[in-house]
Amino acid sequence: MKIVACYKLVPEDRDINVNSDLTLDLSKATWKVGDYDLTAIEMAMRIGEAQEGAEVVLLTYGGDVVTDQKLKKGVYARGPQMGYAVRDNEAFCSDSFGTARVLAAAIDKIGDVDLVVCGEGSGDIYSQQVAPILATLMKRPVVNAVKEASAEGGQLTVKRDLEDAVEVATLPLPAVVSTTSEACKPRIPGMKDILAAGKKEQVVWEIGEVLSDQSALRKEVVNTLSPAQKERARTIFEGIDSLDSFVDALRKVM
Amino acid sequence: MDFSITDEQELLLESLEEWIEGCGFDQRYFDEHWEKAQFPAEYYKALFESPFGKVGLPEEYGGTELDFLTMVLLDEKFAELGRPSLTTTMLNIEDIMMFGSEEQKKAIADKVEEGRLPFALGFTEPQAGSDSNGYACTATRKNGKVYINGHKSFITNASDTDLMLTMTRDFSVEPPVNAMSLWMVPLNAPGVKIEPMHKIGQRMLSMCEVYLDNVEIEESDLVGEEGKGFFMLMKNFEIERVLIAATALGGAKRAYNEAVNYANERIQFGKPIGQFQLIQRMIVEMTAKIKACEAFLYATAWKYDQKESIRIDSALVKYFVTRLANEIADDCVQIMGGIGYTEDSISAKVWRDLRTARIGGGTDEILIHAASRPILKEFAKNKR
Ligand SMILES: Cc1cc2nc3c(=O)[nH]c(=O)nc-3n(C[C@H](O)[C@H](O)[C@H](O)COP(=O)(O)OP(=O)(O)OC[C@H]3O[C@@H](n4cnc5c(N)ncnc54)[C@H](O)[C@@H]3O)c2cc1C
Repeated sequence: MKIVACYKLVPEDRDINVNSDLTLDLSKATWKVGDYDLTAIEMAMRIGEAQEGAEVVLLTYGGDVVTDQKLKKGVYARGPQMGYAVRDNEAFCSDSFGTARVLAAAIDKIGDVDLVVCGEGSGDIYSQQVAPILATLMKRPVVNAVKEASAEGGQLTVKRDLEDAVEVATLPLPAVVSTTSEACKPRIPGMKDILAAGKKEQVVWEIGEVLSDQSALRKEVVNTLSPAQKERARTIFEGIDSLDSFVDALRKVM
Repeated sequence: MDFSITDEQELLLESLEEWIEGCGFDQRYFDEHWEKAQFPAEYYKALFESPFGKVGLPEEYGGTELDFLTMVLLDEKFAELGRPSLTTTMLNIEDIMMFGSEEQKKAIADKVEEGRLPFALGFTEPQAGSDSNGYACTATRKNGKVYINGHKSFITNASDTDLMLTMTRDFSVEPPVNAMSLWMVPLNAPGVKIEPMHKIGQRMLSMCEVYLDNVEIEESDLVGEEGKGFFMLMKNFEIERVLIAATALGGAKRAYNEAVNYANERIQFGKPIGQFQLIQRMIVEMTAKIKACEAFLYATAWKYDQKESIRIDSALVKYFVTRLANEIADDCVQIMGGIGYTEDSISAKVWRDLRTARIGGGTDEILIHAASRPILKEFAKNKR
């Protein structure tokens, strides 16, 4: 059984500065693995470890940062045997559909993949769309918001929390799932894992090796703006009689 | 000269931070244990089971071998995050791996595996603190057994572990440096009495008086060579002093992080106190002190990894770092003002905890004594 766990490298939120024109300044940002993706990697590891001879591999799509050695060691230390990276200097121009297309093509190139595990959403954009689009492109079944999963006899059994019930579903493999953010706690790498991670193979494909026609990926991002911050009005409405003026005031600002 | 920290070291420190954040023991847990002067046993059990518990233990004993510099970075990080560190365990492991028998090495590895503190260090006695020639605890052989008698003072962890590495003296041998031996003494054996003392800081680790009255042990409980105890004590001190400096620096950084943030936030006379030059001076001095401490500390650990002697440097680094760490904590309390003298402030806790770093493992004065003679000797030898 071959399981692919997908992850995205994202800028550290606390290093992002907002410019006076509300555009974002990423120039000082360090990069990290999206937190939700660590959960996906852990789930992939747990499914894999319960299967004799299963192989868990990693896949990422992004700019030059995908080959950053420290980041690579940090992710690979979470357990998977090896991994793949698709490098594209214009990856930041890709939307969920574009990313899903690249991942689908890469998974096809990896070959014989039984299961793809994605995080709840990316750590930066958080559109939560890549897994379902990826499954559609691959013509595979997909379940999102999975909190537990196990594989047996060519089937995947997943559990999801509904409002007041736990849904258990089975789907035939190959399939795609995305996890909830709290599905499981990522394992913490020790020195042995970290040292081993440095020696694990990372296959790097340039975007052209994976997708010959990239026109569908290229979107023009007009801008990404931080919402304008407003000073608190500090208006106090006192007494039950002021309820109407309170509602009026709320309407005005909304 | 390369001053960079490796990817692996950085990732390990990030791992530690992630473990501490998710390990389930919050500040309240530690505050409660501090208050009751109770050993945080559940925390240590979890820590020993984590990827960090067995650092320093060689691979063949199920551990993770680490260079000393990385251990120092880890130990410092524990303190910076405000969590009890692995100092005593790392030190125990180093001691036994250097001097212990195969059986003793296995026994220590098993204890760490089970999540228990390996052993306490029983050197100090009421009449023999700084004066390590003054130890008077004895080991007497009778009918194939060994009997230990004496009184050990200020023994860290004695009430929370079941073994004590105990220094004894053979009064028939002179000079005293050749008369000292180390024995592993069970603390749950008949004849042992343990009385915890009340410390003003570092309260989660006990400090006890240990009375040994005809405690029966085996010949095989001898650690290292008989008569070489003093030499082993000096080796132990080299490691211990560097680790004490590491946790002192980590503690100082913890207070510093609080105080500098506070200087930006606290408004007096219409502006943040960080705008006043007298506060800025403290901040600049603390920052420079931290950088100097880091450089000296890491260089000393690195030197040990290069198999160079750190006999003098370990004394110098503990003297230098622990004093500056105390000064930093004191300045942090000053910057925090009144709130800095309450239990609510990190700086106050650090200030209280750090004081002992200038006493245990060799007092400032003893370190000066230890380091100055070889320095002067070296100059006398190379006189031009
Ligand atoms: C928190 C804590 C934990 C400890 N844990 C342990 C432990 O686990 N195991 C253990 O064996 N011991 C332990 N100790 C004991 C510690 O090692 C001793 O306290 C230390 O060595 C000093 O001895 P003393 O307290 O008897 O002071 P003393 O030696 O009596 O010193 C008193 C003062 O005199 C000064 N002085 C002494 N001799 C000289 C000299 N020749 N020249 C100039 N000044 C001198 C000292 O520097 C000090 O200022 C611990 C101590 C503390 C505070």
